[in-house]
Amino acid sequence: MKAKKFPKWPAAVAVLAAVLILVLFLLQKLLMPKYMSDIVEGNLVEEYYQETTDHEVIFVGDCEVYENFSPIEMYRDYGITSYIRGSAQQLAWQSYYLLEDTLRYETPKVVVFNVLALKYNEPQSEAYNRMSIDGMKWSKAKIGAIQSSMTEKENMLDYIFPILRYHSRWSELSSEDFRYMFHKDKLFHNGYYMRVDVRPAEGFPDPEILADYTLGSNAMSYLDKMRRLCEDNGIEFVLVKSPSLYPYWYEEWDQQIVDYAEKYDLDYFNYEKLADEIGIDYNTDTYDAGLHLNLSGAEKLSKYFGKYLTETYDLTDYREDPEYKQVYEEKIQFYEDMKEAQYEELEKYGEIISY
Amino acid sequence: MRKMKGIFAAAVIVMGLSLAACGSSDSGSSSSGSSSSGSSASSSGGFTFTSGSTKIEMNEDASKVVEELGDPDDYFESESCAFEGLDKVYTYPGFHLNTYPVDDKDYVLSVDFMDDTVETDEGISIGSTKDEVTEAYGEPAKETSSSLVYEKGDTEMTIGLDGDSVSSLEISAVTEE
Repeated sequence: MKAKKFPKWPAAVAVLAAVLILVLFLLQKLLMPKYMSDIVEGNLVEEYYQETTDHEVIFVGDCEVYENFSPIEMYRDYGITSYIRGSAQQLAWQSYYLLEDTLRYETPKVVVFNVLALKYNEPQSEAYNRMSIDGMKWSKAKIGAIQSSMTEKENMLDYIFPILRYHSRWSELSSEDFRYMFHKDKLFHNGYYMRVDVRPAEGFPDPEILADYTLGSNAMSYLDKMRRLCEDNGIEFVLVKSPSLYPYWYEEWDQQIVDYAEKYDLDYFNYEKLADEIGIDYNTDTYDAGLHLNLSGAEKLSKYFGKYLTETYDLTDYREDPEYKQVYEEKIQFYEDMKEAQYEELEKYGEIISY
Repeated sequence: MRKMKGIFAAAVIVMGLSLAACGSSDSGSSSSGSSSSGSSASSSGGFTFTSGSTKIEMNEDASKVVEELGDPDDYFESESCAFEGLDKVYTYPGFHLNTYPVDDKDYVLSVDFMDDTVETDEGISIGSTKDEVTEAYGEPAKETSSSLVYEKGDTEMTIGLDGDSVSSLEISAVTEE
């Protein structure tokens, strides 16, 4: 009896398909921007997944959270464990989906949202979208973030297969692209972007006269979704406006948030109005003339806000927890090392160039 | 065996095409996903604003405009949220000129009216009536109780209304900043 012959070509096709997929995967890894030596903010979202311990407080929002609050300072002062899931120009719907994403991993006791982004009612910029979304792990939340964020020129396929979007980087690859293909250095401190330099606030142009001071319904609907998501998960929801002097946060906008907070019995703090009480000095506590706080300013704000959190919510002091203590000793060391390195750079070059 | 060779050949062609695509330019998008991707070609055919003898087109080279306008009353620059480059605001009597950076050049982003001393090329200023606006520009592309939005080329003119009166006016480039 003759042995039955099986055709070889299906196996060959499978092997070739696997090789093709592997090659395309490697190319995609190579071609995607690494955000390591400049525009480091592009790594904020992704870095969260390296965390090994939970957090009782989660911040969501734009640069007004990741540059103005220091979770390490809040741990040192109060034993609060917190993480900032912030990103550059993070829009309200992105905050919602990043919160949804965070709840896949942990359930905090308090969620803090910075309200500045509510001034944007529509998708704004692909480049900023990418910095908020590309770093998210695949989930229903990521798909929601993409769908709600895409500008007219963008499409879902480019997010699913980023190689389609970034293929033109082929001609501008650098050694950084190879070095950080599979692993990136840690850059932030529980989502906080440190800057120690000082540039005093000077003056700002008069605020522009707006056609309509009503915060957009789309943005407000995502604020509402965040509130309900917190409610459904037994999480306290707190609203803040960071003490940044520019871009303007109009009084009319502020009043709408005050009304919203009152309606749903939420705490809302406009720290622009409380800057004196916090001790913020815009001559020494900002690194870019009043737009964002530097380390000194962020530590002052964090001390102030941490006191409110500790006194208001049933938060755990994790400073005596052996597991957390060990993890945070390393975090504090990294924080202090970066602080020292930035001061050294400042002394040597007169400016921060590596961060 | 010949079938196998054919499959390999097909795979090589597919990969080759992929790499060829990678080599092509992609002018419609920033290569790193990180720089501003606004158009840097001026928006001829769009709304313009004229100050003295200087006609300002959106998306045009801002340095040329600023040189023609002369020294501003005030100047402010701020770093973009994360990007390299600076967003700049030049204050001239009655209006702000806003610019955005692309690579190492600045382009006109918008002109904002700050008071009623300036008017559009069609004679609309803060304080004009809604009827005067529709007479000058026709029906808007979008309308709410407090604003009218007109679109022309790659520009937009947003007119704020306080009742029947123009309360704000901005001419801006429609650009993905």
